[in-house]
Amino acid sequence: MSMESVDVAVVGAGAGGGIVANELARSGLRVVLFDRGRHFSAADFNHDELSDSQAPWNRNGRRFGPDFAEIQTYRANPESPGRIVSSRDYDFSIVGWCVGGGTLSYQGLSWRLHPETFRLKSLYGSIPGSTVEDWPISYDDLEPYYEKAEYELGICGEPAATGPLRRKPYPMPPLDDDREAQVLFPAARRLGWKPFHPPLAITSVEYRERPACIRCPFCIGYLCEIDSKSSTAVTVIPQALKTGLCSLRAQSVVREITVDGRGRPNGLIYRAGDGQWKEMRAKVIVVAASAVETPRLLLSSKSKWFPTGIGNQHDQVGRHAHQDTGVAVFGFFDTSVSDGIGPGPGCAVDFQFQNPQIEGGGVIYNGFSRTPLRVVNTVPRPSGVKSWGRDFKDFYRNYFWKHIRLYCGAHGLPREGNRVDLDPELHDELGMPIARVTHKGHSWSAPQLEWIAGRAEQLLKEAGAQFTLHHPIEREPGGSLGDHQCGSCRMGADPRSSVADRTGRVHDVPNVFIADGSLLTNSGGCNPCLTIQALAYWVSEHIAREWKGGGIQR
Amino acid sequence: MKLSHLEPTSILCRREFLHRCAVCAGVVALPSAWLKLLSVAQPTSSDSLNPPAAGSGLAFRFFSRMQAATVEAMMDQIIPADQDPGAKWAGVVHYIDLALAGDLRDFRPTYVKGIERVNTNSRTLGGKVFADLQFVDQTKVVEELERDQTEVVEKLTGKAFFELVRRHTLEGFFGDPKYGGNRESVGWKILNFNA
Repeated sequence: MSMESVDVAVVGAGAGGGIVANELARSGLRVVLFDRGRHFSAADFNHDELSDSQAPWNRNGRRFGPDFAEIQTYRANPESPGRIVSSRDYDFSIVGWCVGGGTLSYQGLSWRLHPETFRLKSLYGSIPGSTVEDWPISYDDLEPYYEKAEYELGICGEPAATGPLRRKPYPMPPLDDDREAQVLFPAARRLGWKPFHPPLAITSVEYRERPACIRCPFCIGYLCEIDSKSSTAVTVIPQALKTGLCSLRAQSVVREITVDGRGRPNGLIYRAGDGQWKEMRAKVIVVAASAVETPRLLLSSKSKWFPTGIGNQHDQVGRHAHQDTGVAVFGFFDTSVSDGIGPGPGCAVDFQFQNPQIEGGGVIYNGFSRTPLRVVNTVPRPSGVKSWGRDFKDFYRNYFWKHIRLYCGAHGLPREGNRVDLDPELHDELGMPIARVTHKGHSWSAPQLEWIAGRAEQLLKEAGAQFTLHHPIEREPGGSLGDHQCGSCRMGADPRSSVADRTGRVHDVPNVFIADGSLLTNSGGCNPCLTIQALAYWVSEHIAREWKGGGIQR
Repeated sequence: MKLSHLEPTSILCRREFLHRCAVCAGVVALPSAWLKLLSVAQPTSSDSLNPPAAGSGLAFRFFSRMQAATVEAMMDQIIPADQDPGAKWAGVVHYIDLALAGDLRDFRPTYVKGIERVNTNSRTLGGKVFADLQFVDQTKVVEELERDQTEVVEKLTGKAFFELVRRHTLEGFFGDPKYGGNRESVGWKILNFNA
C-alpha cells in the first residue's frame, strides 16, 4: 500500500487548526486535519450537568476530552518535584480534546487584544523575573484578520468606546439584555464608566444559516444544542470539508513529525481511529494542538537534524508558557437579579491601559451558566458558612438567584522558569512522553487583579449588592496552565528568544508552522481565542501566498 | 409484596423502580412544608422526619444495608433536612450506590474503608455505629473526619474521604434525577431551578 501524501497536514482541529484547514483547502491545497479527540454534534447534547459538561464535576470525565487515562506532570518551578495530575483534577492543563477544541464548549468571549499588549516590553521595559518581549507584529497588522475572524466565525457585540480601533462594526448586534445586564448597565454608568456588551461567538440573530441563540443557560462547558455557538466545529470545519479538498481525521493521534534524509520535515506518524499506526507525507505541517500539546509534539520529533526536537535549536520550545490571570468577584443581593436565561456575559467594562497607576489594567464582565452544580461548586461562601450542613444548604437556596458573578481578567506574563516539556520518565499508553508543565504566575499581575477586583466590588455595591466575596488573589499563583494557556512557541523577531517568526513559521524550518495559542507572545488581559483565530487567518494567508509562489512545495 | 418481576435492567428503569417502591411502601412521612415542593403528594402521618430510604425495603446494588445506612446518614449531615427535604429524602445514597455499581466502581474500596473508619470513630465517640448516633453526635463525627489527616486507604486521608462523599452528595442531590438521586427533582425545586 502506498503511503498517503497530502499538501498540508494540520495537527489539532481547534480554534486555530480548523481555520487553517479551511483557508488552505479553499486556496486549492489538499489538507488533512487531525484531532486526537472525538467529533461531536448537536445531537450529543443533553441538559445534564453530570454527564455533558467539560467541568471537572462531570462524573465521567471531561466531556470533550481528555478522559481520565490522560495524565501530565505539574511542578511550580524547575526545582520542585513533579506531581502527576489527571484530567479529573482541576489543575490538568486543558483546552478541549475534540474537533472544535476549546471552542466547542467555551463561553465564546471574543476580545481583540489592545494595541499596547503587542508592545508590553516597550511600554513597561524589562520586568524582573519575566521573559516578556514585544510581538513581532502590531495590532494594526492583525486588525484585518481580527475582522475576518469576526465575520467568518460569527461574533456578536458592539464596538466599545474603550476598545481598540476597528474599521467595521461586529457582524451581529449584541444579545438583548437579560436581568443581570439590566442591573449592571445603569450602575456602571452611574459610576461614570463606559459599559458595553462583550463580544461573543454566539449568534444573536440568524447568521449564515445558523439559528439565533435560544438563551439556554447550559452554555459554558457545553456544546450548543442548536449550533448557535460559533465553534470552529460548526463554522469553518464544515466549510473546509465541503471543498472536497479537506479530510478530517478525528480520534487520530499524531506522535511525531518525520524528517527526510536532508533534514526537512516531510510528514508525520499517527495512530488512526482504528488503532493502526500510519505514516503520511505532507509538504507543509501546521501544528495547532494547544500551548501544551504543540510543544509536546515538537519536542517529541527528534532526529539527527533536530536532536532536541523540531524548532528547539535555541532551547526555546515550551518556554515562556503563561496565561492571562483572573479572579471572580461575587455580589450578593437581597432580591433576585437573574431571569435564568443564558448565555451569561451581558455587560463588560474595559479598564485595560486606561489607568496610569496600574500597569496593564484589566477587564470586567458578568455571567456564567447559572446551573445547580456550577453554583454550589464555584460560588464562594462567607467565612462562617461551612462547605456542608444546614448553613451550606441555606446559603445556596437563598442566593441561587440573588448573586452576580463578575469575572475580572488581567494580563499574565511569561515567567522565567516556566516551560512545557517532556516528562523524562512517564509515557502515555501510546508510548508518547507525557507533557510536563512547569508554571507559576508572575507577581506583576497581582496588583492589576487587586485593582480590577476593587472596581468589580464597586460596581456590585453600586448595583445594590449587600456584600461581595472573592477568592484570595495570590501574588504568584501556582497551578497548571488552564484553558487560556499560551506563549509556549511564541512568535518573535529573534530566534534565540522565540520559536516562530512573524508569519508563524518555525525559525529555520521552512515548512512547519504554528497556529494556536502557543504563538501568542503575550496573553493579553482577556480571553485569547479571537487572537488565536486572527493569527490563524494571518498564518494561513502567508502559507497560501508562499505556496503560490512555489517557496514551500517540493 | 413480590417485586422481583419489576427488577430493572437499566439505570433509568431502576429509577422508576425506586419510585414505585416508594409509593408502594406508603410509609413516607413528610413535614407539610415539603409537600409544596413536590409534584406527587405523599401521605403525611406525623411531623417527624421520614424513615431512611435504606429502611424502606429497597435493594442496593453495591452497599450492604449497614454501609448504606452509614453513607445515607453522612449525606444527610452534608445536606440535612430543614423546611425542605435533605439528602436522605432525596435518595442520594442510591445515586452513589448505583454509581459504585457502575461508572464509579474505582471508588469501591475507598467507600468500604471509609465507612469502616466512620463507624469505628462513632463507636469510640458514642458506643454505636454512625447511623444509630443522634444527629448532633453524627455532626461531631463528621467534623472530626473533616480534619482527619490519617490514611483511610492508601494515599487517601479521612479528610479526602469526607471530600469525596461531599462531592458525591452534591452530585446526587443537584444532578439529574436519572442517576438515581435528586428524587422528584427536589434539589432543583429548592433552588427554583428548571432544567
